[in-house]
Amino acid sequence: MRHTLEAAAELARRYKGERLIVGALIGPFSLPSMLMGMGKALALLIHHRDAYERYYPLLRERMMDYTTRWARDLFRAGCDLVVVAEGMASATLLQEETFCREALPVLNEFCERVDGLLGLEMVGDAMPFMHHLRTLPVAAMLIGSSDPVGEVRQVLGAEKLIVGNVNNLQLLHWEPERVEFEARRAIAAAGPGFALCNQGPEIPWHVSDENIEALVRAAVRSFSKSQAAA
Amino acid sequence: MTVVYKRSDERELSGENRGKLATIFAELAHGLHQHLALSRDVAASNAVLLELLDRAQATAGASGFARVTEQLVATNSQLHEHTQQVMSGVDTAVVAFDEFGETLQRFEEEFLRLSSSTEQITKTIKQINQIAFQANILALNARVEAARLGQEGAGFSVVAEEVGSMAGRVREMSEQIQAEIALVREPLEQSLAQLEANRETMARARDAIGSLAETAHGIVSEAKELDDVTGQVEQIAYRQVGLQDHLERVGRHGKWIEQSASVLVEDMGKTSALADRLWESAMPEAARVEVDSLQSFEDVVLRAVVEDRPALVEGALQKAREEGLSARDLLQRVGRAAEQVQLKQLGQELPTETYFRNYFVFQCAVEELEARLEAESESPSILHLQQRPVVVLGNAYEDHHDLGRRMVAMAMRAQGFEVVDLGLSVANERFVETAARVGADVIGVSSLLLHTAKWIPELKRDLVRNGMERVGVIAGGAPFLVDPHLCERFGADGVGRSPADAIRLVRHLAARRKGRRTNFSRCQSGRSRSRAGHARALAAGRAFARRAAQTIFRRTDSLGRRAGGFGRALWRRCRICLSPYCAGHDALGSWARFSRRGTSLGQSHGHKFLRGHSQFAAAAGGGPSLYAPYAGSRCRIGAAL
Repeated sequence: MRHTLEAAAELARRYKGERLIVGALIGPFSLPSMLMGMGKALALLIHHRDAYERYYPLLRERMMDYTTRWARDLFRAGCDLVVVAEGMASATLLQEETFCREALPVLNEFCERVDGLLGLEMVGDAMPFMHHLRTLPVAAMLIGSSDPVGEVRQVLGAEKLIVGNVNNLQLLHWEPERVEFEARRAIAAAGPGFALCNQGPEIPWHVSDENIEALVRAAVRSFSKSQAAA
Repeated sequence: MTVVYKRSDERELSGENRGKLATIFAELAHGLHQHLALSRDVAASNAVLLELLDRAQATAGASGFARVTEQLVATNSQLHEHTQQVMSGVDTAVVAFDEFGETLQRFEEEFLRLSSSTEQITKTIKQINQIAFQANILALNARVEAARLGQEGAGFSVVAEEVGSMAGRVREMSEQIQAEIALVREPLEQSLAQLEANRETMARARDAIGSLAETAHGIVSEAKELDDVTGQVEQIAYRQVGLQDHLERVGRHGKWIEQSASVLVEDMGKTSALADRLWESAMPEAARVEVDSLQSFEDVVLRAVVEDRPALVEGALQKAREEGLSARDLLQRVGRAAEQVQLKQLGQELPTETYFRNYFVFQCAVEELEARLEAESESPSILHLQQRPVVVLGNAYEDHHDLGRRMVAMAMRAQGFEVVDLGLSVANERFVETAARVGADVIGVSSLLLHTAKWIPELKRDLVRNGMERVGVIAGGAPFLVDPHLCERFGADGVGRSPADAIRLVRHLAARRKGRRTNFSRCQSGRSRSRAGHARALAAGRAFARRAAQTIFRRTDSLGRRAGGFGRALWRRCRICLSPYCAGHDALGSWARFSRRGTSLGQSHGHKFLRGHSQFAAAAGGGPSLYAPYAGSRCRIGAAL
């Protein structure tokens, strides 16, 4: 963690004002699952309601306290945006009812407690819950490759930054033309306020340079086109 | 026992024979319900396929492609036309500019000549002024000379006066002309300067129009390239439309399958209902009560899943204990409930929580019933006699994400599969060793990250090296869901996108492997055996099975003959594993030779699943517990007869 803060500070020293410096943390709703295991966390949430109701408020307060302090430290180190990863709250894992009852209040409270630009990454599918996330006070929404960019933009409106939805593993197989085509399609669907990026950190090392360049080319061309239109 | 049932030939059936008859009918109904469930599965899969086809056709319909291509061609044609117009305009502009330039040039030359003439006039006027000045001097001198001469010079004086006056008028006139020429020269010089500026502007405009002409030529060239690309797109569209035609044909066949499947399901339903009635009529009253209790238990389990109320299962298990229902029968009913849930979930991608909730309910039931089964030390049921799939599950080496694997394990156990869960971070050697030891049909490898999924190709190679190439490998986890090609690239036999999907995949792979599997080692102590040892064990097993089959035949043959058509249907089932899909047991060859009626059974049996045959032989004689594992219907078999 110290290294993360040092890295953020170093980035801020070199690029503050020129580049966006993004920090990341595990959100308060998902952190217990990282500590005790997803299965146990789900079992606690779903099947052991007595234990959940007895212990979860305490656990939640501890998690909230820890994650908010961590977010503030990242901002103090020089991050412009802090992304909160909430895999446990995604539509891949939770039913909508459970999400609204358990996860959404935690996310709201976290956003209220932290002063600074926040991004939310659901790690899994986000679209099924997007209409609930619309009012969440976050500046950016990170979406996965299965989330349709155009529909996300429709729900979120023009204000929020959308980050996504490159399929990092398909980059292994697609030709550069296809990569550029898909990237331009996503950019066109999202409109202004879109960052082309994959969800999560894992772009395989053996993705070809041509395909990475194709992503860059798509972004540059789309940007030039929008500038020309303006 | 008193005879309570009489056939039309008035022969009385003993209690024992009646039990056997019920057993046969039960088996028949069991088989029919299996077929019914599979037919429903086919119909459900076909419905999903048709929906996907509809979506594919709606997404990229042939008309849409034709329209887009037509627009592209039309746009390209317009572009071509406009480019030609631009080119023509540019050429005209170039000519006009050249002509205009020449006119300006001539105009400038005329102006220069005019300027030169005015300068000449100015010079001439200066000379005239000079002459007038000299004439005035001469007139002055003449007047001086005339004055000195006095009266004699009076005439010269008049002439000199006139000459001087004339010189003065000439000077005045030349000055006036000079002033007027000066008035003309200024605008003339301004015009010349303007002409010079215009000439420079013209030169720049000419350059610009030249580069415009070059650009226009470039556009024409690119328009031609675009024309080629449009042609290629058109070709792709033609092929796409061809694909659409194929999709439509597939859709038509899908519809036919749907119709056939619905007819099949209906017929199978009727037939299995008939078999149920036959069986029920042959069933003793006590057994009927028991069957009702089992059905009630199954209904409660299903309701507990649907309503997500595990407590219902606890209550049902308690009630079943009080009623003295057998753990194996109850386990079978749990399997049937799981089967129904799985059929409903097929083709859907539900949140993990849904699977977690569903399979937690099943797990509650399965854990208790398996413990009871062990405690009761009952003989393996038909569930165990059947060739139930054996699956080895584990996370890939260095993978520590167990939720998906645990849920799949729960789902498979609920279905009655034999699951060996090796847990987290399992090395390939351990997968292979365990699969060999338990005679696995399938190895399931779960991995959340790509860098842990990379062990799967090596696992396939290890299996081939150990002569286990027919053991299926299925993969699960995020990388395989995100990248549909990964499974193929890693050489896995399939991807379980959900627990329901994994179950169907395992069934498919187990059925594919059925013809050549050699699970006799599972009867043994569990350690790996050599090829020779395996062959010896196999031969012993065959001999044993043959004896068992002869026993079965002797005890049931007469009953079978009396059972008429149903009996024949029954004979077509494997007598060892009871599966209607069995490619055949070696023992059945012997059995067929004993059969007076003869059967459709072939001799090409390679199905050597022998575990528990002794129990089956005993059970077949005395009335075994039977139940229908795959029936998604209300097949009421499962009683201890």
